[in-house]
Amino acid sequence: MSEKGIKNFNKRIEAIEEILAAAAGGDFAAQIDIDMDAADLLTSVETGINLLIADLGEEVQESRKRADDLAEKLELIEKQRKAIEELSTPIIKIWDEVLVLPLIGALDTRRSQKLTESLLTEIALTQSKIAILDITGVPGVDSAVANHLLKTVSSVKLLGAHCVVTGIRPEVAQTIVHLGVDLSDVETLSNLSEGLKWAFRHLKLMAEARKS
Amino acid sequence: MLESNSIPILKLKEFLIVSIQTDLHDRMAEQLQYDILNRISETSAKGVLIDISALEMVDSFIGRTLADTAKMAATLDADIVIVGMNPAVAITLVELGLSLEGVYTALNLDEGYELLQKITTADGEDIQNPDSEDSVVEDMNEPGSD
Amino acid sequence: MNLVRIKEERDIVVARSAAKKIAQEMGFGLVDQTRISTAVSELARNIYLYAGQGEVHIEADCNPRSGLRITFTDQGPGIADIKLAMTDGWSSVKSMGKGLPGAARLSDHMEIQSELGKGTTVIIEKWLPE
Ligand SMILES: Nc1ncnc2c1ncn2[C@@H]1O[C@H](COP(=O)(O)OP(=O)(O)OP(=O)(O)O)[C@@H](O)[C@H]1O
Ligand SMILES: [Mg+2]
Repeated sequence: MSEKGIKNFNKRIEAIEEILAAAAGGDFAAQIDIDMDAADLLTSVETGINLLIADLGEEVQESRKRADDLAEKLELIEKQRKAIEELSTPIIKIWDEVLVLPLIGALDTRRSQKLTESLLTEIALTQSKIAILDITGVPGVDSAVANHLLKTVSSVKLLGAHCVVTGIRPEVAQTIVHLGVDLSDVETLSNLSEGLKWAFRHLKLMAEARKS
Repeated sequence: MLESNSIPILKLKEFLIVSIQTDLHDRMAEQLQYDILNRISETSAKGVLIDISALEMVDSFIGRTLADTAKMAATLDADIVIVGMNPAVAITLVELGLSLEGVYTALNLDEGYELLQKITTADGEDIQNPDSEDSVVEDMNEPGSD
Repeated sequence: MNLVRIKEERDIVVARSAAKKIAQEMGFGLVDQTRISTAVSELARNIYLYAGQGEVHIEADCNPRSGLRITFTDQGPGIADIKLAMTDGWSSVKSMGKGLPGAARLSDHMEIQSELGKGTTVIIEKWLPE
């Protein structure tokens, strides 16, 4: 059976179907064999399909490459973020029963949760009575950051230890007051050395009370 | 897991010691509150140490019961110190929205005992104002003023 | 045990212990396990207090991320104003009003469906950290 003027009609349609199915399945390599010497009505359709599939194949390949690149970059960013997170949250046991946490970098919910978790674990482990949170290196202290800090301080208190926040720069003090964040329940001091003095005075007071 | 319905309350000199070793269901927490208040009034205890280091979870009910017990004990002239809260419990409690304001806390029984001694001997003596600079109990996790 | 029926007060403990156990088996860290069991305790208590009885269904694996999905259903009175009920500190019974908003803070996703006179369904999800 053949249409007028078209040779091997059924066979060629089958070939077209096969190629299209392959393309739909993601294989753009195959092309329709075209007999140029016996060009007829169907030949232009076949040529068109071949061109289309070749174009499509190129485009798909390119977008795959872009997706791979993107995934790779995202993975790299994630890796770096983790490395920075770990680097920037050391907990230093500066004295018997005194821990210092110098915070560097932005404080988002996720990071402050992780920080709180490691600080509390360390307090429980070392049975430290005082934790000094130094926020000198935290940029953009807004109400969200202040609330994260409040949560950390509250949970340290629940454990039975004391928390001091140091490194409050003048502009941070301004922002906090302007934003209406209530830090009155939190011991705040201007810098780390004041914080250490506070810690020692506090420990001494406790020791003296113990003696008497 | 201990399945008895009552948690033992031990007396040590002028203090009471409670160690919660089992997951508290609501009625048990209420019973404990009742028992502690009764023992305070029976023994005229000046303070109570509640060790919760074995508690894996403190929800709003247990948290409120503990805080209420502390307030009620205060009206019987006894102070309560909660001892040994787990880090995970503390974090969760704060996220839940409870910070147990007005409740004394300590890292362990030793610290809790010392704290109790300080606050109970300070009571009625020169330390009326916990915020005063040279007060011995300065900043010892004293309950907030509210 | 993936289905816990809430009929009496002690079932609250059964539900939260079951959730914690499953969370632990799935590899959640201790703090997340505690967040999950605390949220379950709050929502199961709400069933017990406001609907009298209901069910807690605990499922591992949820799309699109792996984690835990816990569904709380009851045929109780329903919640008239969900937004109000979700307000921190609002309680119809002069309690602390921490249960619903607290459970939302402790989980990664929460949704509430409720119809007056028909009942309430609360779903919470907690995802495993990547
Ligand atoms: N399953 C429920 N069926 C009907 N009403 C409910 C249900 N869960 C919550 N509610 C309503 O929503 C209000 C807020 O609930 P939520 O758990 O936040 O606070 P609460 O139970 O009143 O106090 P808390 O949980 O702090 O003790 C409740 O007071 C109650 O009116
Ligand atoms: Mg509730």
